[in-house]
Amino acid sequence: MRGNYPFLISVDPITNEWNVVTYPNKDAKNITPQYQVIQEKLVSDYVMNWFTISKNQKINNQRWQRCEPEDCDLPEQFRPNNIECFLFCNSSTNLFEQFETKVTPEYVARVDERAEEWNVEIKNIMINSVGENGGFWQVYFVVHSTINGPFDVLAFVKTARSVDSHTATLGYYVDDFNAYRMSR
Amino acid sequence: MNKIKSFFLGILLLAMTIASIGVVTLVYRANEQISVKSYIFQMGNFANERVGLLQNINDISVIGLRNNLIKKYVSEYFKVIPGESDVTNRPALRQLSSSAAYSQWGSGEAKIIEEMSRNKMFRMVWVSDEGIIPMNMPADHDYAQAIISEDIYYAVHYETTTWRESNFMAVEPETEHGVLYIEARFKPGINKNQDVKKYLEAGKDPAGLFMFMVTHIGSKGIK
Repeated sequence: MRGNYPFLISVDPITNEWNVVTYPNKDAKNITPQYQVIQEKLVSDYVMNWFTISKNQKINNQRWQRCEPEDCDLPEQFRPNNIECFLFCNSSTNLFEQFETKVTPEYVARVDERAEEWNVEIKNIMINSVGENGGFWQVYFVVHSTINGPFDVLAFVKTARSVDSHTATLGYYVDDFNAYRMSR
Repeated sequence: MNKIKSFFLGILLLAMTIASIGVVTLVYRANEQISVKSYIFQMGNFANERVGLLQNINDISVIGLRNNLIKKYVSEYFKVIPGESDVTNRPALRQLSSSAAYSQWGSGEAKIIEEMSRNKMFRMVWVSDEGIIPMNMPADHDYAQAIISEDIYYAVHYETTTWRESNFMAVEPETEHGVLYIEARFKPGINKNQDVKKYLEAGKDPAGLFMFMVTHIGSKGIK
């Protein structure tokens, strides 16, 4: 079919990414709708856990701790809103190491020095696919800090799949995560 | 007396029959007039922000469409996405460039982007309508006509914002300004030689459907 064929283009105001709203990419199997939904759910849960800081260090420890691989198959991992071992069980080994060495110390300092808390605005998480191959997501959301107020964050999330593990997410896990503060 | 009773009973039955026909007719007509209110299922309030307002291509001026394509081009030219798997392969940029211009990008800016992406930096690009300045336009020429009838040199003033470190919320982005000189060929509308359905179903970037091509690039002027 040539010429007069209606389609909608969505232009991303941040990355200038042009996406067609009307047609899914049927050739890229990893972004067919059901897999897309699972990945989007994983990405939003991941963002929630990465950017939540509690005054209560016990809750933080549950969320940030290094667990045993066997813990990821426990029934708790299949419960909605589970935070225990969430980051460990849903990250690649490298990514969790980065979280432990780079992010956790900053978070601990925020709690110890100022009793700061962070919460993600769950109803305002916007997820868009980046590129033409699937498995790469751009996430825009707002984090509320009890000290500095709300600030916008843009994150790029790469998902990967290993069918032998990560059973709670049908094999999907977060392979790379890079977030940037967009506003003060 | 019985005859009078039978007469009135007959009148009553006749009235009831007429009334029932009337009621059935009303119901039938009411049935014909039923209208179903249609609803559009929406994901949530933020869907407004995600999709944005629809704008028909015919309502976008020739210059407006050209500007959008130049912005898209400059954004593809400079943007840095952290952890991008194959930086040197940017299908949208390839679609909007001549092979010479694309090779020039591949051996120049792409190398810088590759390094930045590997180091988990993020760079976004912004171009305003006023920042797109044609360089070889005769003063008395009809602007809208000229940009579709000949190749035009543009000086595109852009602003980049770069975050040099990821996952560290205290880091401040850096802003820089620059000028990219391009020579571009443009015609309004969709490329009629392109199979639109096939193109979109293959998941390709829709920008490639438009008749826009950058033939030369340079950072300090082309001629």
